Amino acid sequence: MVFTFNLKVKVAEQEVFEALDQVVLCAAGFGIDDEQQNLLRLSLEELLLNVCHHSGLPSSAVVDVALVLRDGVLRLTITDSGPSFDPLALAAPDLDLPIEQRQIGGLGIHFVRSTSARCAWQRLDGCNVVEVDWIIAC
Amino acid sequence: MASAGNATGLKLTHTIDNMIALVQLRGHLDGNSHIAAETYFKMVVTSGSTRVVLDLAQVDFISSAGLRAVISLLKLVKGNHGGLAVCASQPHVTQLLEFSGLKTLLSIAPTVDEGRAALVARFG
Repeated sequence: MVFTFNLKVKVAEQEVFEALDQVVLCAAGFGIDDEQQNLLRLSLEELLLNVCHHSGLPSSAVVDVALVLRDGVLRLTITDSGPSFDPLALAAPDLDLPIEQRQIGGLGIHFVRSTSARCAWQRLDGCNVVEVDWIIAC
Repeated sequence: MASAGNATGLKLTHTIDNMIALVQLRGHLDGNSHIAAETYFKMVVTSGSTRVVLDLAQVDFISSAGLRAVISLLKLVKGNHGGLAVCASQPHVTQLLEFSGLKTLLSIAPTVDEGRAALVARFG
Protein backbone atom coordinates (compact mmCIF):
# COMPACT_ATOMS: atom_id res chain seq x y z
CA MET A 1 0.00 0.00 0.00
CA VAL A 2 1.18 3.54 -0.77
CA PHE A 3 0.35 6.51 1.47
CA THR A 4 0.72 10.03 0.08
CA PHE A 5 0.17 13.51 1.45
CA ASN A 6 0.72 16.86 -0.29
CA LEU A 7 0.69 20.33 1.17
CA LYS A 8 1.42 23.83 -0.09
CA VAL A 9 3.13 26.07 2.48
CA LYS A 10 3.70 29.80 2.20
CA VAL A 11 7.25 31.03 2.82
CA ALA A 12 6.40 32.49 6.24
CA GLU A 13 7.50 31.18 9.63
CA GLN A 14 4.05 30.91 11.18
CA GLU A 15 2.80 28.96 8.15
CA VAL A 16 5.80 26.66 8.51
CA PHE A 17 5.00 25.79 12.12
CA GLU A 18 1.37 25.08 11.27
CA ALA A 19 2.54 22.90 8.38
CA LEU A 20 4.86 20.94 10.67
CA ASP A 21 1.93 19.93 12.83
CA GLN A 22 -0.15 18.94 9.80
CA VAL A 23 2.59 16.82 8.21
CA VAL A 24 3.50 15.08 11.46
CA LEU A 25 -0.17 14.38 12.17
CA CYS A 26 -0.43 12.87 8.70
CA ALA A 27 2.65 10.73 9.35
CA ALA A 28 1.01 9.46 12.52
CA GLY A 29 -1.96 8.52 10.35
CA PHE A 30 0.43 6.53 8.13
CA GLY A 31 1.38 4.55 11.26
CA ILE A 32 4.77 6.23 11.73
CA ASP A 33 5.96 5.96 15.35
CA ASP A 34 6.78 8.87 17.67
CA GLU A 35 10.56 8.61 17.24
CA GLN A 36 10.31 8.71 13.46
CA GLN A 37 7.76 11.55 13.65
CA ASN A 38 10.38 13.59 15.53
CA LEU A 39 13.01 12.94 12.84
CA LEU A 40 10.51 13.97 10.18
CA ARG A 41 9.64 17.16 12.09
CA LEU A 42 13.34 17.90 12.55
CA SER A 43 14.20 17.71 8.84
CA LEU A 44 11.03 19.48 7.77
CA GLU A 45 11.64 22.41 10.14
CA GLU A 46 15.26 22.75 9.03
CA LEU A 47 14.51 22.66 5.33
CA LEU A 48 11.41 24.88 5.37
CA LEU A 49 12.98 27.53 7.64
CA ASN A 50 16.02 27.44 5.38
CA VAL A 51 13.79 28.44 2.46
CA CYS A 52 12.10 31.14 4.60
CA HIS A 53 15.39 32.67 5.72
CA HIS A 54 17.69 32.25 2.74
CA SER A 55 15.82 31.78 -0.54
CA GLY A 56 14.87 35.43 -1.02
CA LEU A 57 11.35 34.34 -1.97
CA PRO A 58 8.50 36.61 -0.83
CA SER A 59 6.22 35.38 1.96
CA SER A 60 3.46 34.96 -0.61
CA ALA A 61 5.51 32.32 -2.47
CA VAL A 62 4.60 28.69 -1.96
CA VAL A 63 6.70 25.61 -1.19
CA ASP A 64 5.39 22.16 -2.11
CA VAL A 65 5.71 19.50 0.57
CA ALA A 66 5.08 15.86 -0.28
CA LEU A 67 5.20 12.87 2.05
CA VAL A 68 5.07 9.35 0.61
CA LEU A 69 5.29 6.00 2.40
CA ARG A 70 6.01 3.20 -0.05
CA ASP A 71 7.70 -0.19 0.37
CA GLY A 72 9.03 0.64 3.82
CA VAL A 73 10.55 3.99 2.78
CA LEU A 74 9.19 7.30 4.03
CA ARG A 75 10.16 10.07 1.59
CA LEU A 76 9.83 13.80 2.25
CA THR A 77 10.11 16.00 -0.84
CA ILE A 78 10.33 19.78 -0.63
CA THR A 79 10.17 21.85 -3.80
CA ASP A 80 10.76 25.61 -3.97
CA SER A 81 11.11 28.02 -6.87
CA GLY A 82 13.94 30.09 -5.37
CA PRO A 83 17.37 30.61 -6.92
CA SER A 84 19.42 27.47 -7.42
CA PHE A 85 20.82 26.42 -4.04
CA ASP A 86 21.87 23.03 -2.65
CA PRO A 87 21.50 23.19 1.15
CA LEU A 88 22.95 19.70 1.48
CA ALA A 89 26.27 20.90 0.06
CA LEU A 90 26.93 23.02 3.16
CA ALA A 91 30.09 21.97 4.98
CA ALA A 92 29.62 19.92 8.13
CA PRO A 93 30.21 21.91 11.34
CA ASP A 94 33.41 21.27 13.27
CA LEU A 95 32.08 19.51 16.36
CA ASP A 96 35.49 19.25 18.01
CA LEU A 97 35.99 22.98 18.57
CA PRO A 98 35.96 24.29 22.17
CA ILE A 99 32.77 26.10 23.15
CA GLU A 100 34.38 29.54 22.82
CA GLN A 101 35.00 28.88 19.11
CA ARG A 102 31.82 26.96 18.32
CA GLN A 103 29.46 28.60 15.86
CA ILE A 104 25.94 29.04 17.21
CA GLY A 105 24.37 27.78 13.97
CA GLY A 106 25.20 25.24 11.29
CA LEU A 107 23.73 22.16 12.92
CA GLY A 108 20.44 21.96 11.01
CA ILE A 109 21.59 20.42 7.74
CA HIS A 110 24.06 18.27 9.69
CA PHE A 111 21.04 16.79 11.52
CA VAL A 112 19.16 16.19 8.25
CA ARG A 113 22.14 14.26 6.90
CA SER A 114 22.83 12.42 10.17
CA THR A 115 19.31 11.25 10.91
CA SER A 116 18.17 10.13 7.44
CA ALA A 117 18.96 7.09 5.31
CA ARG A 118 19.41 9.24 2.20
CA CYS A 119 19.07 12.90 1.26
CA ALA A 120 19.55 14.50 -2.13
CA TRP A 121 19.10 17.80 -3.95
CA GLN A 122 18.49 18.45 -7.62
CA ARG A 123 17.59 21.42 -9.77
CA LEU A 124 14.55 20.42 -11.76
CA ASP A 125 12.38 22.59 -14.01
CA GLY A 126 13.63 25.78 -12.39
CA CYS A 127 13.03 24.52 -8.85
CA ASN A 128 15.12 23.24 -5.94
CA VAL A 129 13.97 19.72 -5.07
CA VAL A 130 15.21 18.17 -1.82
CA GLU A 131 14.39 14.57 -0.97
CA VAL A 132 14.92 12.96 2.43
CA ASP A 133 14.34 9.23 2.99
CA TRP A 134 14.00 7.14 6.10
CA ILE A 135 13.72 3.38 6.31
CA ILE A 136 10.62 2.47 8.28
CA ALA A 137 10.68 -0.70 10.36
CA CYS A 138 7.62 -2.77 9.47
CA MET B 1 9.92 29.88 41.46
CA ALA B 2 9.80 32.05 38.36
CA SER B 3 8.08 30.96 35.20
CA ALA B 4 7.17 32.00 31.69
CA GLY B 5 4.73 30.57 29.21
CA ASN B 6 4.29 31.82 25.68
CA ALA B 7 2.36 31.35 22.49
CA THR B 8 4.95 28.89 21.23
CA GLY B 9 3.79 26.20 23.65
CA LEU B 10 7.08 26.09 25.53
CA LYS B 11 6.83 26.56 29.28
CA LEU B 12 9.90 27.58 31.28
CA THR B 13 10.34 27.70 35.05
CA HIS B 14 13.31 28.06 37.32
CA THR B 15 14.18 27.75 40.97
CA ILE B 16 17.43 28.54 42.75
CA ASP B 17 18.73 26.23 45.45
CA ASN B 18 22.15 26.49 47.08
CA MET B 19 23.53 28.77 44.34
CA ILE B 20 22.42 26.44 41.53
CA ALA B 21 19.57 27.39 39.21
CA LEU B 22 17.32 24.59 38.03
CA VAL B 23 15.68 25.57 34.74
CA GLN B 24 12.89 23.26 33.62
CA LEU B 25 11.35 23.24 30.16
CA ARG B 26 8.16 21.61 28.96
CA GLY B 27 7.08 21.31 25.32
CA HIS B 28 8.91 21.82 22.03
CA LEU B 29 12.27 23.62 21.97
CA ASP B 30 12.35 24.49 18.30
CA GLY B 31 12.48 27.32 15.78
CA ASN B 32 9.23 28.67 17.15
CA SER B 33 10.35 28.86 20.78
CA HIS B 34 14.14 29.21 20.81
CA ILE B 35 14.12 33.01 21.11
CA ALA B 36 11.83 32.83 24.15
CA ALA B 37 14.17 30.21 25.64
CA GLU B 38 17.32 32.27 24.93
CA THR B 39 15.71 35.34 26.50
CA TYR B 40 14.76 33.33 29.59
CA PHE B 41 18.23 31.78 29.91
CA LYS B 42 19.83 35.21 29.65
CA MET B 43 17.55 36.50 32.38
CA VAL B 44 18.54 33.62 34.69
CA VAL B 45 22.29 34.14 34.17
CA THR B 46 22.25 37.93 34.32
CA SER B 47 20.32 37.61 37.59
CA GLY B 48 23.45 36.03 39.05
CA SER B 49 23.05 32.28 38.46
CA THR B 50 26.10 30.95 36.64
CA ARG B 51 25.70 27.31 37.67
CA VAL B 52 22.69 25.95 35.85
CA VAL B 53 20.97 22.60 35.65
CA LEU B 54 18.85 22.51 32.49
CA ASP B 55 16.11 19.90 32.79
CA LEU B 56 14.97 18.74 29.35
CA ALA B 57 13.16 15.62 30.58
CA GLN B 58 9.80 17.08 29.52
CA VAL B 59 11.03 18.43 26.19
CA ASP B 60 9.51 16.04 23.68
CA PHE B 61 11.07 17.66 20.60
CA ILE B 62 14.23 19.66 20.00
CA SER B 63 15.58 21.03 16.70
CA SER B 64 18.83 22.74 15.74
CA ALA B 65 17.27 26.08 16.69
CA GLY B 66 16.56 24.66 20.16
CA LEU B 67 20.12 23.42 20.46
CA ARG B 68 21.34 26.90 19.51
CA ALA B 69 19.57 28.14 22.64
CA VAL B 70 21.38 25.48 24.72
CA ILE B 71 24.74 26.42 23.15
CA SER B 72 24.02 30.11 23.87
CA LEU B 73 23.36 29.24 27.51
CA LEU B 74 26.56 27.20 27.67
CA LYS B 75 28.59 30.10 26.24
CA LEU B 76 26.91 32.47 28.68
CA VAL B 77 27.68 30.43 31.82
CA LYS B 78 31.21 29.60 30.68
CA GLY B 79 31.81 33.30 29.99
CA ASN B 80 30.84 33.94 33.60
CA HIS B 81 33.12 31.16 34.97
CA GLY B 82 30.11 28.94 35.65
CA GLY B 83 28.92 25.55 34.48
CA LEU B 84 25.96 23.83 32.84
CA ALA B 85 24.54 20.36 33.38
CA VAL B 86 21.80 19.08 31.08
CA CYS B 87 19.32 16.43 32.19
CA ALA B 88 17.87 14.57 29.27
CA SER B 89 16.23 11.21 29.10
CA GLN B 90 14.13 11.30 25.93
CA PRO B 91 15.90 9.40 23.12
CA HIS B 92 15.31 12.10 20.49
CA VAL B 93 16.92 14.75 22.70
CA THR B 94 19.90 12.65 23.77
CA GLN B 95 20.49 11.60 20.15
CA LEU B 96 20.71 15.22 18.98
CA LEU B 97 22.95 16.20 21.91
CA GLU B 98 25.27 13.45 20.70
CA PHE B 99 25.11 14.45 17.02
CA SER B 100 25.83 18.08 17.97
CA GLY B 101 29.04 17.19 19.80
CA LEU B 102 27.76 18.79 23.02
CA LYS B 103 28.29 15.64 25.06
CA THR B 104 31.97 16.51 25.39
CA LEU B 105 31.33 20.13 26.35
CA LEU B 106 28.80 19.81 29.17
CA SER B 107 27.66 17.39 31.83
CA ILE B 108 24.75 15.26 30.67
CA ALA B 109 22.96 13.53 33.51
CA PRO B 110 19.91 11.27 33.52
CA THR B 111 18.33 13.05 36.53
CA VAL B 112 18.22 16.52 38.07
CA ASP B 113 19.89 15.26 41.25
CA GLU B 114 22.80 13.82 39.28
CA GLY B 115 23.10 17.02 37.25
CA ARG B 116 23.21 19.05 40.44
CA ALA B 117 25.79 16.66 41.94
CA ALA B 118 27.99 17.05 38.83
CA LEU B 119 28.03 20.83 39.28
CA VAL B 120 28.71 20.59 43.02
CA ALA B 121 31.57 18.15 42.37
CA ARG B 122 33.09 20.56 39.87
CA PHE B 123 32.51 23.89 41.59
CA GLY B 124 32.00 22.98 45.22
